Amino acid sequence: MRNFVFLAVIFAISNLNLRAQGLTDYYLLNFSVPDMPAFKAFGKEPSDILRPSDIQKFAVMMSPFYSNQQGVIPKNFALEFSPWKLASRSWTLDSYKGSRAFLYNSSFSIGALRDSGTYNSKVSLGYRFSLLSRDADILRGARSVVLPYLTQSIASLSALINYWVIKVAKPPIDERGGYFDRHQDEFWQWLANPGTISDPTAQAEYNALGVTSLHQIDQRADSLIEIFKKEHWNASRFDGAIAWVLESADTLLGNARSSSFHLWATYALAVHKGGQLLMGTSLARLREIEGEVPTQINVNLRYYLGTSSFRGFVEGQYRNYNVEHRNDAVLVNLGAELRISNSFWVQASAGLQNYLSETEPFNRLVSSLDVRYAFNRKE
Amino acid sequence: MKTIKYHPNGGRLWINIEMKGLYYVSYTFQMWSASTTEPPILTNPLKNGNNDSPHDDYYPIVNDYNTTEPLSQYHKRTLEIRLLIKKVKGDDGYHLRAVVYQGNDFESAEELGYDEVEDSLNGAGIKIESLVLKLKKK
Repeated sequence: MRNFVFLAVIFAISNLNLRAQGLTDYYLLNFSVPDMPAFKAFGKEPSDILRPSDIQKFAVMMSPFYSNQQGVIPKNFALEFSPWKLASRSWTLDSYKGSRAFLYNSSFSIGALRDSGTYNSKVSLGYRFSLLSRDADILRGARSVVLPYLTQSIASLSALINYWVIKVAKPPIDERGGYFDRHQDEFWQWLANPGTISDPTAQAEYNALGVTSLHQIDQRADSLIEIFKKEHWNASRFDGAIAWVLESADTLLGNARSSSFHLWATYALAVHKGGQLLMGTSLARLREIEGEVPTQINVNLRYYLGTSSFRGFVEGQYRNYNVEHRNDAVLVNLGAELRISNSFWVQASAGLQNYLSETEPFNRLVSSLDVRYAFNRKE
Repeated sequence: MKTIKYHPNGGRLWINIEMKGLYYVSYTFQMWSASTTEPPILTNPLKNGNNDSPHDDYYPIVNDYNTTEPLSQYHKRTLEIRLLIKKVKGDDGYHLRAVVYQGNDFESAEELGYDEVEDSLNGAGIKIESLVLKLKKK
């Protein structure tokens, strides 16, 4: 039942992201499945590895933090917010490097979950960042492929616009400047069916352009980006995140107490064409129990093989506790990530968890199924 | 269309194209003639560039068919910059500006005025923006 509720939450969050973004933010997640630290801190997945993913600009919460003049923990929601994305409108493409690239690819997140147990209301605050290699960052990596095409396209278009203004539309001479801007629709209608182009230079530009609409130019540019993404989905990158979980026996924020603190780090390494190795570690410092403060340390190794749309993985995880009453464990996990439409991903995994410290070690089957919305494809 | 007033006896005219926002932006720059007795477009070939580094996006404003004519002849000519803007990651907004300067060298030239546009693609993947400036002598 709890798994069902969790899946429902993931679905709801996916749909909220969909609405919040208005289907307009493409390529926010370049290569992988989204992962919010504030939600990951609730520990609902067997594997604790932080998967490489890009930062979302904005998602929206589901219920209010404030009700009847008291702060309350909402039932279930997740929110990710990157303030530096909003600041990027004043940055040049050239300045997108170093600290700015770091800030652009970092975000805050907040999540809430209603669980079972005495302290069943949980809220989590998270922060994550990505250090991207050039090939892992479309803005930097793909520009050497896409910008030359766009630069040639606007040169051809401008030549054709000039021909259309001078030879076809023929406005008064003092109205030529800016005439295209005021009559763009007429130009595109003409370009779709230009008839005979009397100027050989304009005809050559028409042939060089090879398309008759702005939409087609967009499609060609997107296809260049897609090729780049397919070739570089496994590019090297480093992702880090922290999260702090608060818990409350009721829904009042004022009664919340600290529950756990989490830290993740993952280095993704392109090992060969179509292959990627994730090396991850995570640390969780849990709430004091009977005078002991349990600290959980995970070490993960995950190997991906596949493409930008479908990939399988095999993973090993070692989990260590510093206290006697919790068992160290080894997890062997098999899974796959599949893009089922332009923006939705399904991730499924199943594995065997072995508790090492038991007198008679026993194995337990574990599984996970997530459906997520990824902003990495144009609608 | 913005009007730019310049000194007909002053130094050289320059245009600088500024592109802010994390998009791929390519552009052309040209100067329209104001007379029927000369070619309609006085920039040949059209200036063409993009926002990739380390390209400098400033140009002298000059009649390529008569590079030595006096600045008084530039009266009523129109500068047009067409910019092709492509979304790559997010659509967080862009700010495009074309600034006209006057002075013998670009570094010390005086700013005369500019045209600008500040917007986002609002759901589109690509868009053409135009910046248009008309020269008038003081």
